Amino acid sequence: MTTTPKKLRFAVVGAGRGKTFINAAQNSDSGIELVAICDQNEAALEKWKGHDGVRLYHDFAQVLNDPDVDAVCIATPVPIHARQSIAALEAGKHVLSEVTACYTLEEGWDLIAAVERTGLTYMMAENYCYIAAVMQVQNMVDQGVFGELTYASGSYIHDCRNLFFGGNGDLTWRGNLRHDLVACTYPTHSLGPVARWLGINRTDFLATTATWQSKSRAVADYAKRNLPDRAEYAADAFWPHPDTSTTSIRTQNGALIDIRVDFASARPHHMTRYELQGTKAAFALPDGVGAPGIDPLIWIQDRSPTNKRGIAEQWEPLSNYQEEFEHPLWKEHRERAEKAGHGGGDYFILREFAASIAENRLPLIDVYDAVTWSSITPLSAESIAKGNVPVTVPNFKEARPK
Amino acid sequence: MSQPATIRFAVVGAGRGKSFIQAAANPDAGVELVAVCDRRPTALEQWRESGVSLFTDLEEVLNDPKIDAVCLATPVNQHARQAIAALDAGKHVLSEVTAAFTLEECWDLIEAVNRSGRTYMMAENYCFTEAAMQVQNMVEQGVFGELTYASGSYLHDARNLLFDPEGELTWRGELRRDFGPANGYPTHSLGPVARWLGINRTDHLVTTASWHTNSRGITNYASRNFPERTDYHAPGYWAHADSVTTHIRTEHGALINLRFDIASARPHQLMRYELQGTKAAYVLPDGINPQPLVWIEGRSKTDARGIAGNWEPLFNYRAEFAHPLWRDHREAATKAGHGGGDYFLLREFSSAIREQRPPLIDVYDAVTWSSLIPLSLQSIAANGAPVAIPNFRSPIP
Repeated sequence: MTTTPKKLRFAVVGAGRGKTFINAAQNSDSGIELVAICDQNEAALEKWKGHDGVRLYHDFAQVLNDPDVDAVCIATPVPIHARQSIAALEAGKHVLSEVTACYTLEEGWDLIAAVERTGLTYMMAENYCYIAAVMQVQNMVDQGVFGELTYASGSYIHDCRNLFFGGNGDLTWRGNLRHDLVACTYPTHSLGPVARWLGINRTDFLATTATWQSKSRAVADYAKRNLPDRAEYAADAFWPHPDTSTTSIRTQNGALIDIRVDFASARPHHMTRYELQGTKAAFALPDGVGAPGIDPLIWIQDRSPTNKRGIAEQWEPLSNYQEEFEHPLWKEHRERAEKAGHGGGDYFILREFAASIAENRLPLIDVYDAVTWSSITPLSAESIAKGNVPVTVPNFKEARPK
Repeated sequence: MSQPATIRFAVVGAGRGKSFIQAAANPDAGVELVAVCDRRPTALEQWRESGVSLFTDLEEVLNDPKIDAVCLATPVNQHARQAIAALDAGKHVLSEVTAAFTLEECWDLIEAVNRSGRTYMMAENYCFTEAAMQVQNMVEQGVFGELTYASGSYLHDARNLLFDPEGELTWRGELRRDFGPANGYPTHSLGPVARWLGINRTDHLVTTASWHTNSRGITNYASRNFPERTDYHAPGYWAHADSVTTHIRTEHGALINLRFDIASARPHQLMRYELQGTKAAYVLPDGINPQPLVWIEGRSKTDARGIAGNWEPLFNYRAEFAHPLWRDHREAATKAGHGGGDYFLLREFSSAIREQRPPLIDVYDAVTWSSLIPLSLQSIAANGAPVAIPNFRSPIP
């Protein structure tokens, strides 16, 4: 085994979700060396035994106490991301956190304070920002193809009810979430790409938001059919988390964002449903047969088909413009990215994480983005609790309110 | 079967009214076209030899004792006042969408219907499309289980209709200059959704809020097409917002989302819908030649864990679930305008009059759906605050 001292010594915490990061780290050209894997669950570590140079830990504290670990990837249950990230930063480790970054505004501010206090790198691993179509749209936005952006939407629709229950029928952490929270609990896959297109925290800021919720029916319905002996699960009241929620956000510059999150309703999934509307172009990734191979669609003024009156007529496949507008990162690294998990996301994320540390700069998805996008969870809880009222989105780049 | 008296029918507004005039020609529609009215004599020219009475003033229609019913296919913000005048003159009314622009007009319209005892129906033809009606039939037969969520979007770049060829504003243009920001045209989206959810029958709309974008689309269109009209390019000239999103919660806890956009540069999708039940889901998405799609538990594909696999075309289930009206009248309906809507509307309107029953889209539905216009205006003015939706069946406040 060869090691160059410059390589970032990288530990993955959570061997389940962490698997694709482990793969990406092992196949990376990005200056990352996998040195440790941590999981509470002995069985999850079994397959990594005998991997030369990879230390195996059961306890997160062991990772933080290991002086030969430079950076940790937090791929643990969502509710513990913020506290683990803060602990890792305090222990002198750079942090790559899986989504979402935090569950409360307090945690968000604490996370920012920890990053600022330690001077270490924190990045959120929002891999949907790196999907080829998303990045091509980003490139087109950056080059002015869309004109001024007025509207965007993102929907994460993914029937995950099978993940709410363990083999013994007990609730997993995801199941507990449906029991404990009334909120939009997973906003970043939808908001992340949209926020990047709109230049949120750069040229524009989220200003106000409100969330509206449906009743809860889908989880009890699933439990009745699949776990008929667990009578407590059969009551809708056991699952206060809404089946579906819709969140509107207005930006300081007056753009409107709609977010829909639904991970319980019985329907084919569509995790990457997006729309982007500018004065000169529109993008859509709609529902359709053929998921996940649904074609992203584009319409561009003065290029795409119009009718006699000059009004937009028909969508074109986004791929019609791939040659001209493919994002430079995808142009250069397509082959390697496609081999990694999550549509290339994990490959680019690791690359960006290592590069930002090496270059001593903020990563593309920094702690302010991570907290801003994740803040929709506590803000949506507040909006719903108060009868769907609009609430102010904090500007996390400003001083923490006293 | 007793032969009902003929319903003598006048169409007011010869432009939009044309497809009603055509639909009335079918004897099945149950009406006899006896008059056409339009302020513009040129618009009447083509009916000159048809033998029907021609009028240029609504007043003349209302004073004509040989007219039983009027169809109002006039500019949208006149519908309520004209409908009230027609009811008070003893005519039955079929009103184009939307029914009203203010809450006051909503209540006045209900009062006029109750006072006159005449039949009022709103001509929301999107409720009668084949897909919407098949879904309706499937909902009624329990295929969807309990409904939890629905959405309807009306996305239609109609900026060319805001200007006449000389670049002057049409009535639509004046409306977009003066009115808003609001969801100015909610019934094509809300109508089918409200019918699926049984609104005003088994459930009721309770609260709503609307959120809006900036106004950019019309300015952009005007500066490209009417560069010399600098007044159109000035910030603040257009009260209209490019896009409005509306959230509605029902008494039984279902969530409805509407989106209204008639000014953004994008291919149109006037009938984008979603419906989610505990046992099935329906979607009519954006797309190149989009098809209505359905997923049904126990019938459509699932993966190894029993989780929904892929969508199927809705019309895979046509043989089993086609709406009876479409099953029986497909040929006549497809010959008429607006995807069959105008044919079924006239049939329903004339049957309701003859059978002396409320029509399928009665005055309470009409004003409930249309009330989203003033309510969205109010919510947006209050920065997206939720507002209560009146129960229009309760006494007038």
